[in-house]
Amino acid sequence: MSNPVEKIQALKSQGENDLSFPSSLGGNDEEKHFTYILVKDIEKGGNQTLVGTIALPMPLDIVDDYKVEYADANLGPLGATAVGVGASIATEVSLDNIKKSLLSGLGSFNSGLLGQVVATKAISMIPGISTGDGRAAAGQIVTSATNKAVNPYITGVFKSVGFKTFNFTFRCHPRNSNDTQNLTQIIKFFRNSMLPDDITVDVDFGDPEFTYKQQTGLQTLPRRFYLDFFTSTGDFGVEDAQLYGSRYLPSINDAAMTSFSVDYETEGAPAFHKNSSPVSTILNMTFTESKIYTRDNVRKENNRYDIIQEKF
Amino acid sequence: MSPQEKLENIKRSLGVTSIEKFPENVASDEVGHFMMITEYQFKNTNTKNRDALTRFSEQITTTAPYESRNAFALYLPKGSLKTQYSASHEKVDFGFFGALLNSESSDVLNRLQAQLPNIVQSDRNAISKSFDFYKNIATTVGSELSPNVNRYIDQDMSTRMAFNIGEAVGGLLLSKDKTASVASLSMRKTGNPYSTLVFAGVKERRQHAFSFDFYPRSSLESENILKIITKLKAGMLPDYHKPDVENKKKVEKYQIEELKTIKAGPLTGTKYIKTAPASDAQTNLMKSAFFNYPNVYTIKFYKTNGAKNEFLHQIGQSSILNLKLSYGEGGQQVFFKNGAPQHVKMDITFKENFALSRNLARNLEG
Repeated sequence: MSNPVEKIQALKSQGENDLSFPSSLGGNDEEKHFTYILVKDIEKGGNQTLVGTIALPMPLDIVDDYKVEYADANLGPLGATAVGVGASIATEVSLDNIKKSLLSGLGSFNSGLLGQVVATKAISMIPGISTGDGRAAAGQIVTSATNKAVNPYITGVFKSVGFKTFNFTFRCHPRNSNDTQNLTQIIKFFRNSMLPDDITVDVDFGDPEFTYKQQTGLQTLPRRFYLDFFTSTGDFGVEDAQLYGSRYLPSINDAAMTSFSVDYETEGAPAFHKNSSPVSTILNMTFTESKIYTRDNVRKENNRYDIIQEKF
Repeated sequence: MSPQEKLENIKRSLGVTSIEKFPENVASDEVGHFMMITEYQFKNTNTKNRDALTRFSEQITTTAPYESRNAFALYLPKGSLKTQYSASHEKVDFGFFGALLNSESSDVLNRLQAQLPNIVQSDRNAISKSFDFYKNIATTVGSELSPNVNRYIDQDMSTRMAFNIGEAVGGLLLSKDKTASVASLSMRKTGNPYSTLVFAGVKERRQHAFSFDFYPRSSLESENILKIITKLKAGMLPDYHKPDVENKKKVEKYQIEELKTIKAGPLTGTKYIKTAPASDAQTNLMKSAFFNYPNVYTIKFYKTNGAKNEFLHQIGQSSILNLKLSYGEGGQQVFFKNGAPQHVKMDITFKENFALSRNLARNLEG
């Protein structure tokens, strides 16, 4: 068994839901690189069970986007002092240090800064100035009159990291009826996996003619997806029951499929084979990982692939 | 000086143990101009002698409370050598009394500041002194403004009253927004808004974006790209304190060649993987409730002799907002025999952690 797709399928076999497109995937040099997708059901308690695997060629683009959110904090001198005091207390939490740090914070206010603040306050108290946006006007008057402005101490404050989102486009051109069948099955499997299912119960009155399925009003959760890219035969393995692929490309884990589009009309006009199957099909899918990606994830990847030796 | 020596000197000056580089011949004659990204990690330091405002400034503008972790020597990508400086100024309509205060408040401020030392000094009479101080504000402001207020009453008050009457007449016939126009046209006079442009602060922090196109020419360069990406990813992301059990967790690795073979059944001959599920102690642990901040970076530009390029701007302590990696080109994925991609595009955006002032800019760029 030299075909890498077959190798992985044998490892992760689920029988009827092991799908691949095209049938020659992994068989020749051009199709040695491929995408392997594991589809898992979410069960009670959050456990997941593998329900199917899909092998597809490489998507047109692979984009791995990391975003970190920082908020602009307009601290002003008081806020900046508070941060300075807090930083000092954090280095040594003791009553003595807290007292010293607070005194040092008070010492940060010199007469120049205090004068500017007091003058602003004084001017804002004048009738007519303190109405409407008078507070701003008072500050601006003092700024203009003294040629000095209060430093807003604007700084970036770390807020959060978002969930990683991936969008992949697969261009599929079936070359025989087997490919067409497989592609249709793949599309249906993706569709069924990304949608919830209505939970029904069988109602039985003892007479088969009166048996029917009753809607419970509840739905099962959509399935989760794991994507890996394989570019070299010696580059894959398993860690904690999780399949992993190329060290050079991202691995998408525990992701929800948030959109799935199928476009059969991609070459300018609709075109069909003799058996009425479309000549080309473009699949576009968006996945969002369900867990945030932190430095710990990078650490795990590094342990797996031995990329850098230094600890971080 | 050889490229190696140049990088060695920079390494020493930055205090890092290694420099990741791309391309391999960076700092040579072919890639003489290059940039150096240095990564710093926050460390708690004892700065008790600093006053709180200085301590805050040091945390965001310098690398004093940080230790250098990694450095990256990279070629200068297209569009990388640009920066921007901004200062917000706003138009403010002071009106007569606002303008009057504007012209006089310098004196008001001086007079008030002269009294401040007495207020700031704490003694038994602090409360009564504070009370006196606030009482003095009214007296001081009143005495400074009275000459111009008197002139306004003598010269402009009658016009103002006529203007108000004009507005009232207009209000009988027209909507409220047009009454000022009626008064203005009928009197051929209009109110002076005493508009002034006032400095509103430096509100924008500088942002610098770089777009690197990595085309590796050897497996070593592919490996270097992977190291650069891994280190930048690790540095830009938050971390959390991990329990000891998780730190000790062993990662088990299997290679496809090392696997056992199924000896019976339909998959006879197929190699399979033994998995190592996590123990209960490992899976039941919750992650920490707090994140450690991501690391910060500085960026400097170097010239052919390995010294800092004094003709260019320098980038101060920044955080990475975005790291985008795109593999493949023109809708095609092409790989080397070892599985490494032939092209990786890395878009990276840095945002400085502080708003620039003249003092900071001088310290940073000279």
